[in-house]
Amino acid sequence: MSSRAAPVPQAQVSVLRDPVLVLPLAVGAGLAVGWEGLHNGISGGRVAVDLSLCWGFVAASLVALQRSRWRRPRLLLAVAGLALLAADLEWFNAPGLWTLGLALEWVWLAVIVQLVLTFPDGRPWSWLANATIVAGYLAAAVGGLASVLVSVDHRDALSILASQSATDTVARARAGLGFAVLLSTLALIGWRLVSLRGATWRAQAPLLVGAALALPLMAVTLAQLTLTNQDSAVNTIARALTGLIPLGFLAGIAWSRLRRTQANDLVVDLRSSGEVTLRDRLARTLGDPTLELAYRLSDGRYVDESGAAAVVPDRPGRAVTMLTARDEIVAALVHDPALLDEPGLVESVRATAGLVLENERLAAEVRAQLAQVRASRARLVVATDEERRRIERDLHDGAQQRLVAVCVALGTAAGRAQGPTRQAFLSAQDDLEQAIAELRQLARGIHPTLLREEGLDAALDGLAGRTPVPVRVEGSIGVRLAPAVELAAYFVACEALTNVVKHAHANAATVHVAHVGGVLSLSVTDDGDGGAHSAIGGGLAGLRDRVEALDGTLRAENDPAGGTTICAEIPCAS
Amino acid sequence: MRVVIADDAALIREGVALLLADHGVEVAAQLADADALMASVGDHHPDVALVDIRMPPTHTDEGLRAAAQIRAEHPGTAVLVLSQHLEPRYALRLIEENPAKVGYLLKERVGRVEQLLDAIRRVSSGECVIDRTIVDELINRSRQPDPLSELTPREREILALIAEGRSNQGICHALWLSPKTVESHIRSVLSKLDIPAAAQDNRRVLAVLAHLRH
Repeated sequence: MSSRAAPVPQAQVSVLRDPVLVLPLAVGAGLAVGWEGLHNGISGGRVAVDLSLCWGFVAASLVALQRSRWRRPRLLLAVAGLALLAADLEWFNAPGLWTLGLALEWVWLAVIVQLVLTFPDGRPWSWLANATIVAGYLAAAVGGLASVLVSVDHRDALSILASQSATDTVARARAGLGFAVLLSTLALIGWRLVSLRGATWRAQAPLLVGAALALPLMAVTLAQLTLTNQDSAVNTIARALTGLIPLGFLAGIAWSRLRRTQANDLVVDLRSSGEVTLRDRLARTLGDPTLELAYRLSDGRYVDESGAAAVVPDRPGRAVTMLTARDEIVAALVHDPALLDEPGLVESVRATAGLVLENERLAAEVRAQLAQVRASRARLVVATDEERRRIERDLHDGAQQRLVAVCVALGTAAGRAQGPTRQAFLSAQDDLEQAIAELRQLARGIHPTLLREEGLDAALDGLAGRTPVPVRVEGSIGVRLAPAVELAAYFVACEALTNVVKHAHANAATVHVAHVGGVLSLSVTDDGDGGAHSAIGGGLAGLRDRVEALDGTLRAENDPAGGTTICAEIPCAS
Repeated sequence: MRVVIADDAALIREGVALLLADHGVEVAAQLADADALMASVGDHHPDVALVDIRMPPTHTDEGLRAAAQIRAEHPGTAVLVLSQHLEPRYALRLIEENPAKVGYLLKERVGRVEQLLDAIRRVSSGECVIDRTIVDELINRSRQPDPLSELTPREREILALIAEGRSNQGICHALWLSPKTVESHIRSVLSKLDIPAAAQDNRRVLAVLAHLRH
């Protein structure tokens, strides 16, 4: 026995692996069963429906060959087709075949229930789906076996307790349970269709919709059988409608083929790139709004299109597909796992987007480096400001205090001395006072105390006051801003006014300052001859660096009627 | 004359104390911060408190705040603030409330004993003293429609002296003018600055402030 038993599973496995073998089996058996049915008074319509269904299921299972993840649905489709044919063995008069047909009468429907409730990966959706599937098989198998045991038909080879009333009861019970199974199945399909999203929905919807359309009439048939135990034309129509299931299955495949063509068009779309980002275009082509695109930098980090760090997740619920160009990973697509049901789709994207991706990756890499440089430049400015502040403090609390102390000592000495010595002390005091005044100017240029302690409004007011040209200050800030922002704006005003005094031959200047929508804007306008503008190469160039380090802009405009406006805008969250 | 000195730099504090002692001014106490200063003023009731503008803990404007507090709580004590800052704004903060018995000097002036003694005497006698350099900075401020531009050079000179806190007598003395001439100049300044005659206001101070604020 063991030597004979072994080839059987092998044969099953080979059918499983190579379902093409099912085709001649289905065609041959179908022709034989159909011939016998027509011979024994079965209507031509019914025979045509059953054969079409059988061959339709088997054919659909063959078309799905390319879908590696859909191995189980494919097998179930073929099994359902063959089981349908097995039920029609009832059309034979030979007792053995007739009995087998009766026993297997509803197995095909149980297989369809399993197909639907385990679509697409072969695992039941939930415990309820699992229970429904088991109940379906119980109704089909136990009901079939019971029918065989109690049948009064003379063709029944296994009739032990032949009884018409028992036959009726068994048939009704079987149909009733089948009805309940179908209702549960329909409810589960409805829930599934409502709760699925995106690519997953798209991959599964056609088959589920087909089932949702086909099964209600089958449920009606079973209800009718439960109540009257009478078969009717409804049964034939209901069977015909189940053909929607393999049709839906095929429609799903056709849909993804269509989208693969779209993916091939992607390369054209990518070249005519407009405002839409590559990620958006890929998301649209793949039909996955949750799609994330992470570029792999040469140092192995991942960044998004703006150059910000991105995470390539390794967690359930997300799938990652690596995209390569010239055997090198250039990007990772983080997407809905349902896209893996359409391997050709992702493959198309991989093939067409490779070169564009390489370019985009380089661009993203540059952006990432730029972001780093900007961040470090901003840090440098803050660090420089801190250093300036420290130096200013040291000057005030160190050098200046000591000089004042020396000045006091000289004053004491002068008070106690006479004649030329006293004069020498007083003259030294003069020099010392000059040094202190110069030191004060120096400290103010390094980091103005007034700005630090009283803010930009006060500092600009003070600056305007000591500028030799009349300066009007318009507008005010009213709040304190980040020290780096205040300092940059102040230095811009300082430098611009210095240029106005030195180069513009102006009679007056206006400083305008405003803080609107998180942006500090400061402009300095003069009524001179435009000389301030040509001076922008000097001190203002350094200030442009400072302003841009804070993500701001600095520009100079010459008014044709004369005069120059220097304008700085610096973003700041006050 | 009795003074207290508040400055967190011991070298300066002691130097000034020595200098003042040499010239017959009694230094009742030397303090290193504003709290000690307030206590000391309460104890000694000095004629004048010399206060450094930057003191612990924040080294910003403790001196100004202490000055305001002394003037509110001890009206008998005049305050002379010593500052590193040339910014007029600090001086204005000091004198805006009540421009009497108060002064603002750049710190290096403490080495000039005559200037220091002069300022101490004047604030204690109720005058308002502002460092000449700061007054210059204010006077030289360039303005748009400038009422000061209508003043003659002599009137500007006199306004500057008023801003320093000089009396008519002091101005006569400084400019070698007769009291009558000075009075007529001052009347002219007041009318050009559009300051109405009103008994309850110190018109001279209003003139200075109007012009400083402008």
